[in-house]
Amino acid sequence: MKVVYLTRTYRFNAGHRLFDPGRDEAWNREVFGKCSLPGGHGHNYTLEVTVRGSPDPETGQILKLEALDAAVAAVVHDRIDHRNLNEVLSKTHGPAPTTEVLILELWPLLDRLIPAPVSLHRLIVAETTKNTFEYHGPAPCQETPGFVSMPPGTRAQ
Amino acid sequence: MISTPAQVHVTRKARFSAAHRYHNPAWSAEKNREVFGPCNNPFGHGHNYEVEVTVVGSVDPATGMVINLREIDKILQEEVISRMDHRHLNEELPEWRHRVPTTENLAIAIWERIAPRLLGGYSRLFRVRICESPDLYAEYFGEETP
Repeated sequence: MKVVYLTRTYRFNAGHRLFDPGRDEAWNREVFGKCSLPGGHGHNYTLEVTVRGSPDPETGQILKLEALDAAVAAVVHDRIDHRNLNEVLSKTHGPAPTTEVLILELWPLLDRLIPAPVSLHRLIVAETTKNTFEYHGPAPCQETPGFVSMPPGTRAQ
Repeated sequence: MISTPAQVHVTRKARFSAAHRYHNPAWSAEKNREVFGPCNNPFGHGHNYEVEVTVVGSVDPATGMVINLREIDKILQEEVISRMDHRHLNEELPEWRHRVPTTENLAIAIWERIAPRLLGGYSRLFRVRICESPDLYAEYFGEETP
């Protein structure tokens, strides 16, 4: 079966303040800079979701886009969009709602909503056009086979 | 001592516009409508496609190149653009008569046409990415599972 990766881009907005309540103001200011200012601030985030699967011979699709849209709607649009990340994220991955913490929290929530045999392969969250965060999941090596570079010294014939 | 030539990935983009329709002739009209929604509308619809071809290889010491981009352009022109640009894929290309021209299938089909021509002395095809819109793309790396 030929394996294809499909990527769909979504957008959402959220507020946050990078602040660890277990530390004092000076520490937070030192580590997080203006991202720790007391009133908080927000971003227009983009989320790229990549799923991995083989096209169904009857439909030519690896999954119905509606299924992917529904998963993202249930996780992102219903729980995170237009919310304050300090309020809605668990503290499992860290006290301050950085984009790293956000992407780690999103993975299991989305992963369980992707219908098998298709699997979640990669998430990319851009906080601004300058800052992008990428996660390939918790498995030890979920590297795309194609990404493995050619063995040393070999050349295609 | 065996030296390891550094591997560099080179990506070239090309654009084409085409019409297509998601339709499985083995199914009833109702089932096609239910599964494919507006993509099944009878006369088809179109997209501005962007295709990105990535080649990986070591740098030819004589040219400083992994591959001459003119070579990729020529192959893309002959195998993709001249065949697909401003065409109705289902109606005009034989390979789509019995295969739904989804983004996923287009990635595989383009790979199969260009990969044999991109096997050079220093390089090989690494990835075909095809973007149907700025928010949706499919990628194929030549990967197969048993």
